[in-house]
Amino acid sequence: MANDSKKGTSSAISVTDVVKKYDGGVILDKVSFKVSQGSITVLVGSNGAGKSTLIKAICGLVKPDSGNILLFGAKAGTREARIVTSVAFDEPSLYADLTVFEHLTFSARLSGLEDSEERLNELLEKFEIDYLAERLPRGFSRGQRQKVALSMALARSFKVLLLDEPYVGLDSSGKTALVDLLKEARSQKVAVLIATHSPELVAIADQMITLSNGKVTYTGEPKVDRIEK
Amino acid sequence: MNFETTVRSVAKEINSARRAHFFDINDRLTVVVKGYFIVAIVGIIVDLITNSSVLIKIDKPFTSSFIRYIPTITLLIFTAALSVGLSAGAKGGPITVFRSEMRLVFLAGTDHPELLRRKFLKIVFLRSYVSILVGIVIGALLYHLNNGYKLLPAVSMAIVAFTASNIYIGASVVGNLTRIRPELVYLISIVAAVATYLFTITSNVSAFANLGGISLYSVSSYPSEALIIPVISLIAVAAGFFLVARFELEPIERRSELISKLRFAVALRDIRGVISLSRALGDGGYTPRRLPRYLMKITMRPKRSPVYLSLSNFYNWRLRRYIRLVLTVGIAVYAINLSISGATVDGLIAMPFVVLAGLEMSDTVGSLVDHPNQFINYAVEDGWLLSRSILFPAAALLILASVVNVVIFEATGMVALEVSAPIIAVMAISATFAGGFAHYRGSKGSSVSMIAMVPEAAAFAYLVDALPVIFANSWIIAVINTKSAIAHLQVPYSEAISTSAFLLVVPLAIWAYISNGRVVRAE
Repeated sequence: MANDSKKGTSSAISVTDVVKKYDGGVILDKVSFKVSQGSITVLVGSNGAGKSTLIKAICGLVKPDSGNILLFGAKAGTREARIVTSVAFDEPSLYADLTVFEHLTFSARLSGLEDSEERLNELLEKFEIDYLAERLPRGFSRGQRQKVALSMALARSFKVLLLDEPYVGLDSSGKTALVDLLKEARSQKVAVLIATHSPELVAIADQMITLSNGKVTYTGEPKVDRIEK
Repeated sequence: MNFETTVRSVAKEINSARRAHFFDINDRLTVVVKGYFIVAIVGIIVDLITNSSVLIKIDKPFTSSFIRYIPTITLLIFTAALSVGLSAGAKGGPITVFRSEMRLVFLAGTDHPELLRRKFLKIVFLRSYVSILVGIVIGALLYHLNNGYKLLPAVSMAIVAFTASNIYIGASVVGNLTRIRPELVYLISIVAAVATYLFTITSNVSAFANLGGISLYSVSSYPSEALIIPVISLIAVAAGFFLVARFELEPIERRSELISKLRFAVALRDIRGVISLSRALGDGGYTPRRLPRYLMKITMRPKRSPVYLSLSNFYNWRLRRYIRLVLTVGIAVYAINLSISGATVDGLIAMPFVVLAGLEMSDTVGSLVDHPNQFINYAVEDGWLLSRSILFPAAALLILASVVNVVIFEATGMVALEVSAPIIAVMAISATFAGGFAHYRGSKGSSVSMIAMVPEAAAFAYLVDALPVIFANSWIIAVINTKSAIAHLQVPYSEAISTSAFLLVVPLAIWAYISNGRVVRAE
């Protein structure tokens, strides 16, 4: 990681004093934390705590009012940062006029991956949606759409994986597949950050960050009993 | 091939893949209907232009006065384009990137400024084509209205519309970057409008009017200041091309996310959802450019299944329903007679009644689509199930409307029966077919909505829903053709009427036949 050595840090994601306000309300209040390579970090907190906004800020969709977010040394939102990042949001959003396999193919190719058909088929099989490969997403259930969105995120080439509420709508096989794939990503030195309420995901995490009213209230060992606090 | 080139080629491939699925998400029937709709609209425009001098009588003094005020009106159009553009920009426009594209393409390792500029250019080109076309149509209309006046209004109006479009686009980019408050913009517009008006009434040649003089460019004495605004508008577009790169993704994402939800709410006819999301868009400073102004909801739940596709259905009607139908048809036919004998605009009164009559007569279609298995025992095979369900009500409405027409003729004598009868026949048939279409679209226990002004996000969906209304009222083509034929005394009006009837009824019949195949397949 050239950028790491340049910055003299092993942190894949570095968030420093990030503040974001909407309409006078403070959504993120001097949020700071780091996520290292080859780790899974869960971001927990009640509804409206600022988790989704933070994920959006890290992937470059939301511009913080102040503070810094670096991904492998590159400022969030820049092309360099986006190239290493893959993200799946809480609400899956698919083209009505592209098949599932086309979604995955284009997602992979937009990250520079060519000839990834084998990997894409593997993802579809793991999420048990291979039978939907040639279908348009019209009429898909919430869970099916979620599986496609997660497959798209995982089809890319990435060093940072951001997931916002990935368990929503997933059946048990989908959850198992996701956990396996997250563990696989961790073993490949990917930095994973997940906004979630799910104890199962907290259980596999290496680090836990709790947000409350936009402030970080806890950073450390994952503890399931802190999810609702 | 470097990464950026790859991304660009993939983005193109995405577009071509989406085009390849066009027929998968838009069934062929809908495509045919949309095509027919476009042809019908073009036909009406051509009819209006070619017959405008007959339909609208304008005397010489009015024409001279109108020409005198054209520069001022032009300037007001430019001012309006400026204020609407600034306002649209302040609300997040002019670029809309829907979530799917934002997630897949914009968040990949792409060059945002280039993507945004490409989208900007698309908007510029599309609006340019449309505005020039609209300008030419208005210009042609003006030319016919002011017959004999030596102008080239088609070209002039095209330039005016093109300039207004450019002003709108340039202003919207500035509005987006500066987040100028719409209230301020409207205030500026009102002041500009009042000032323009005052200058015009107090001075023969006002500075404001000179600025709007581009609309008279073909007159030798047009003021040179008139070129200023078109030139500025071109500069504004060029500036917009560079400035658009500074747009932030967040407001685009927020706006497109809300618009996406709004589309869904509109598709579900969720009026409360539409209102609350429109408010949310407004609260965030991103209101949709057009809001529903008029909504009419018609429940499409037949109380009982039709016994058979025949007139026997009507035996079960209650008395008040017969009375309601006779009154509806009576008002419609009387208003159509008015529009034949007087100004065509009188037909506006007839329009809603024609729609209601068509819906009333063909309400069995909804249950046909909902419960095709109820009809499987009848000896009705391929192709004619739906068509027959419409033909009988069409015949019934035709008879009823003709009888009412004779009664009106006997009472008023305002239009000769040989003139009005064919038009009333066209009205009856097109109204029933359109009613069947409306029921078909609004089946499954849902409803059909008619929207006069719709949110941009759902415009296309509503277009299809609005088609029954347009079909039902397409008798106006027959009226226009007839009036034109009579006025010119060259073409026998009966020929004009039969041409109109063929134009209107045949596509509807084809639609009904094709639709029937869908019902059978649905089983």
